[in-house]
Amino acid sequence: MGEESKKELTLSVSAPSGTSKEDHASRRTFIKNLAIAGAVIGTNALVAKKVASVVLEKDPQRAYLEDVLPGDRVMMAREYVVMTDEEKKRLVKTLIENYKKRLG
Amino acid sequence: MKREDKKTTIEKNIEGSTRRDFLKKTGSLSVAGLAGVATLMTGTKDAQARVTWAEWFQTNYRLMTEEEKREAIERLEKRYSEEYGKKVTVDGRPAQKNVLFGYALNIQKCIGCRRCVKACVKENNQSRHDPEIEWIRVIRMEKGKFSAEDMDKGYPSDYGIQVGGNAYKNAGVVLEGQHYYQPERVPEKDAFYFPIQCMQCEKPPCVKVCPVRTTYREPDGIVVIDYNWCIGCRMCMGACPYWARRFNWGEPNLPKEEMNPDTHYLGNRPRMKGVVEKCTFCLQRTRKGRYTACVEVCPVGARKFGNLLDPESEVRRILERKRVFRLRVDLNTFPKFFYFID
Ligand code: SF4
Ligand code: SF4
Repeated sequence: MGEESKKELTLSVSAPSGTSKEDHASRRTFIKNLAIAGAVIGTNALVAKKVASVVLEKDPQRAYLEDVLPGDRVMMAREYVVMTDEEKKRLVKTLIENYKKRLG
Repeated sequence: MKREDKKTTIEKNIEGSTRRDFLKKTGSLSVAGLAGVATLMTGTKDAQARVTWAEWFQTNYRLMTEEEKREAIERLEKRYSEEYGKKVTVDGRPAQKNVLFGYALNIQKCIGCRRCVKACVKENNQSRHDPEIEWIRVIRMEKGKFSAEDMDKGYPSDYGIQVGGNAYKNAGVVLEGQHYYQPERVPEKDAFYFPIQCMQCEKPPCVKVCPVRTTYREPDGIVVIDYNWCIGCRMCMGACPYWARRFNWGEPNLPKEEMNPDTHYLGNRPRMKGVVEKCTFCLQRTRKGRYTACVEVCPVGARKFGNLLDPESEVRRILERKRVFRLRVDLNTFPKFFYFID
């Protein structure tokens, strides 16, 4: 990996300037900053942490794993129940009705 | 690199940012700001930059006219073909009429080989390293033990779970790092496997929170993202109760020779740093009547896919005849991805 790309990894979302791809980052980062401010004020602590940590992250692989791995434990702690026939019928009916409603 | 040096590099990067970044940080996307961008962009002769100049100003995909969509797609096809050195197509095909996609996964059959994960990465042009992005997680869980006192509450299944009148209780324990387990042989004696990916919720909480409405639900039920408009605020990631979304922390690393050139605007086209991505039920395939890559590759046929509006479809038959699970505590998102056993 060249020195340039190493440097780039040290920044998170806001990319250095000079190439076209980074113009996307520019618009995103601008609105993102506003949204983060809103999120921190308007949501619960967990979501705010998840959202705000974007500002400081450096190592993409580590940051990625920090996003993904806690989810495994959350998902596995959940309990599942077998649906009754009645529930399954109702579910299918709801999905079909929703579809019809949406398409007018 | 020492922590101090790293810090200095970050600071330098920030200090070295452009006028565009400066204007952005002042918090005003003003006329002056746009003029700054314009000067910068028209000053370059680079074809890619000119293409992206247009991309920068394009509107949200779902608000585009057909003509605008066509133009946006042409721009991307040109840019990607140049970038990846091969003919890349970007499909803009809308949802088919009378189709609502649903997915069913047989946890009794899954052997945890993770072929679905690899096939998905390949099909959907996910970043190969730094970070290695995977939309499907296959979690390995320890099988639980049957306990006699639960005898009257149901009957034990192979999976160490209690199934019965008072339902299904997961007795497995997921271990740290099991996301990347690499057993010599699967299935392992004391484990079972639980694949997770986007559930394409009917009422998707991720969609509700997106401040720029760049993620939305399509008529065929697939929740999509217009990457060009994603600002990377990660609100959707916080809202998704299934942890199904992935964030591009770095510029994605997609080797030219591995890039899948058959892409869809709302699906597997190459993403950029700072945007969110997730499973789209391979809409570049399924809207053409093909199976998803994961369904196709699964060696034991654990994965089933079809049209929920069609009573003859496999997924509808599963809903009718098999033991299908739902979360005990209803999250009210109406997932269209179901787990079942025979
Ligand atoms: S990260 Fe992108 S898709 Fe997600 S809420 Fe923010 S803008 Fe919307
Ligand atoms: S699983 Fe998560 S990302 Fe997928 S539609 Fe539901 S809330 Fe959105």
